[in-house]
Amino acid sequence: MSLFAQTAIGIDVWDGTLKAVRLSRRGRRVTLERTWRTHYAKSADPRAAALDALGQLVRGARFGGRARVVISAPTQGMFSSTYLIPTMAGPRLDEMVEYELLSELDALPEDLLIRHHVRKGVVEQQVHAYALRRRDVDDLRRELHERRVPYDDLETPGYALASLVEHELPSGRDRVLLAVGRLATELVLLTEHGVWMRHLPLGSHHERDATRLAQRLAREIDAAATYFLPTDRRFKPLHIVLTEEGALDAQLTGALKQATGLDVVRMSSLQRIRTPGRLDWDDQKPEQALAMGKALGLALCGLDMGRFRSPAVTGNARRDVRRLVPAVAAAVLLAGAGLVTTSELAVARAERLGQTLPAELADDMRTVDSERRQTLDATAVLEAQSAALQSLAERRTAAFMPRRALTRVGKLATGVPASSVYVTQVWLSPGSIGHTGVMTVTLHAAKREDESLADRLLRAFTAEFGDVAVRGPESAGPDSSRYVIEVTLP
Amino acid sequence: MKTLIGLAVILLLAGGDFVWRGLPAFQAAADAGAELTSRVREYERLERRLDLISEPELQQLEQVRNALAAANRRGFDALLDRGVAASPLGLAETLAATPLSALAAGTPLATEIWELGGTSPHVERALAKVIALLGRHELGSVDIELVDDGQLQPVPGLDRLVALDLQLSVVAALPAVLGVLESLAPGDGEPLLSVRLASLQRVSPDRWTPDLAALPGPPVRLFTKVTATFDGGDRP
Repeated sequence: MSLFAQTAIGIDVWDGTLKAVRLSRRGRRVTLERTWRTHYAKSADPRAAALDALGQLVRGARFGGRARVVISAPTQGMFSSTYLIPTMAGPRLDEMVEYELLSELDALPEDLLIRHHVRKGVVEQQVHAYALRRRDVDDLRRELHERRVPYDDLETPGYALASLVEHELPSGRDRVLLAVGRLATELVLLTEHGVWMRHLPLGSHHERDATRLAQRLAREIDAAATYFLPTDRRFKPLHIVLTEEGALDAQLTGALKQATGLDVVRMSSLQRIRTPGRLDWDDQKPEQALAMGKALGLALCGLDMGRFRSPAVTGNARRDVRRLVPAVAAAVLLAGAGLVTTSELAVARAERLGQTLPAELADDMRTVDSERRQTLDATAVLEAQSAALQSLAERRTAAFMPRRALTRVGKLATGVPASSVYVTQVWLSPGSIGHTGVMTVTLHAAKREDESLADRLLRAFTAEFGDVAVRGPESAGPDSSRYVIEVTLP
Repeated sequence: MKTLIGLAVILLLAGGDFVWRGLPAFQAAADAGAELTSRVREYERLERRLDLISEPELQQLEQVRNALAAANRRGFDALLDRGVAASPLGLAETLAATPLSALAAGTPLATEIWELGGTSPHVERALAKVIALLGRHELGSVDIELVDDGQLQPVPGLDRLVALDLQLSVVAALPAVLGVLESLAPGDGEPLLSVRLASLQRVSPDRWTPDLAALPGPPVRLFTKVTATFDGGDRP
């Protein structure tokens, strides 16, 4: 059984055989799932036997809380009719129906249970009304309660049968529905203008001869048509639809046809209700199960697909609540899960936010910056030290500068008399951090060398040392000139 | 009934969990959000104020620093030449062994040198080294003086190095003068000798003494300020 399918169980009790079917519905698709059948007609107390059988069925079948259970209402002494009433609001309609019925029956309101079903029209509406003995209904409810028989609705078997026939054999024509049981028969006159029901305490156990039974039924049909139907319209039934145990009696079928002059139709198969191949027939033959017209109609009413649905007693608060339990449970579990999940998400979010950009990160940033500054400061100190070391090391080079300078002067003075060019002083200052060193070479030369000596000195010392400046010739006496060569040391 | 009771218990527990943990967590999340906003602003301020660099960049700076420190250590070792033992002879032995007549025992200069060497071990070592170097050359005259009484001064830019200054005046032939000058270049162990300034000047012939005249070449006066550098402790 699907969790999402609607389920209904129709139980027909009062015609000598307890018959039950379970239908399921998904959308507009209806499926026959199971059938039950229990005979009790031979019991000395048929009513008690029927109720006992019902109790046993309920205990054995375990219908469950979700299925809607519809039981046939006691229809002994039932009166039904159809009225054409101008279109009016609900309470006024209720009053009008009650008035019409009470007028016809000449009974007290408290003695009757009056129900009706409306077929709405533009100007006037068909109201199918019936009245049951209130005492019979109350007694049944009490007995069902005592036997712990769960039910949701008590529905008239006649309307249920009419609903089934309209569902399976829609035609819009006048018809006679005959549900012939062992102990009782439901007679329904179905026209396009209304529905009339009558309970006949007449069944196959009361008249075993099919021909006599058919004749008695034919007379009842005529009487009902004469008494109940409006005289302004002629009743021309298309056929007789025969169900229940009567439908399983071929002789009765033939006798009815002969007695009424009408075709007798039996439901050999269901047209619009699916019957799966693997169906639990509960040890019945398929044709027996298909003869459960009233039970099928009751189940259709339970699925809210009965065209003439008008239960005498409707609703069982406890069962309605129990049917809500799965949905409520799911909602509660969902809500609970939602609450717990929300809590967990909030906790997780709070933790995540707390861990995002933690306070320690600021300390890390300051630490990194401090380390950067310290490293740069240390590097600056080391660079100064490196420069000082470099400066110290370069003093080694500087110590050899005078020899190189004197060698250059010597080369320049080659071929020149020694007294013509001679160095008088060499000054050396190797320099320090941030200050370049300098070497100054002072030499004297004969004035005759003035013409080119400066240039030659510049070329020679530039080639040797690079950054050189030569001053001179400057007069150093009547016969000599002085030259000063400045060499910038690295 | 049992089902309804069970559902009620479940709902109660879930509701209780929500009230007990969920609501405080919502508040905590809101508070955490506000704190986060505050922290973001603080970090933005820090970012503007600090000159942040990445971990790899910091490591790179440290590598540069360490490489520089290692290079300085190598340079320092090379200059002080730890592989070379300091002068094996003390001042007394050096004076006794010097061939320089100006520093012969009993000469005023030798006496003065001896007295100066007693002022501190650093002075003694510096004088011993200078006298040993001078002894390698044929000199006409020699004069040695301490600057600032040989007080040790820190070397600018080189922590923990200390130095004292000497003034040296030598008259010799040019090759010997150049040899003295070049032997005062840094190297050859501690103390590290280096020339701070030097002046080479021809001695006018009219000022030649017999000792100067006996030199193998025209005399040249070398006047130099020499720095003797010592390792004061931890290296850079």
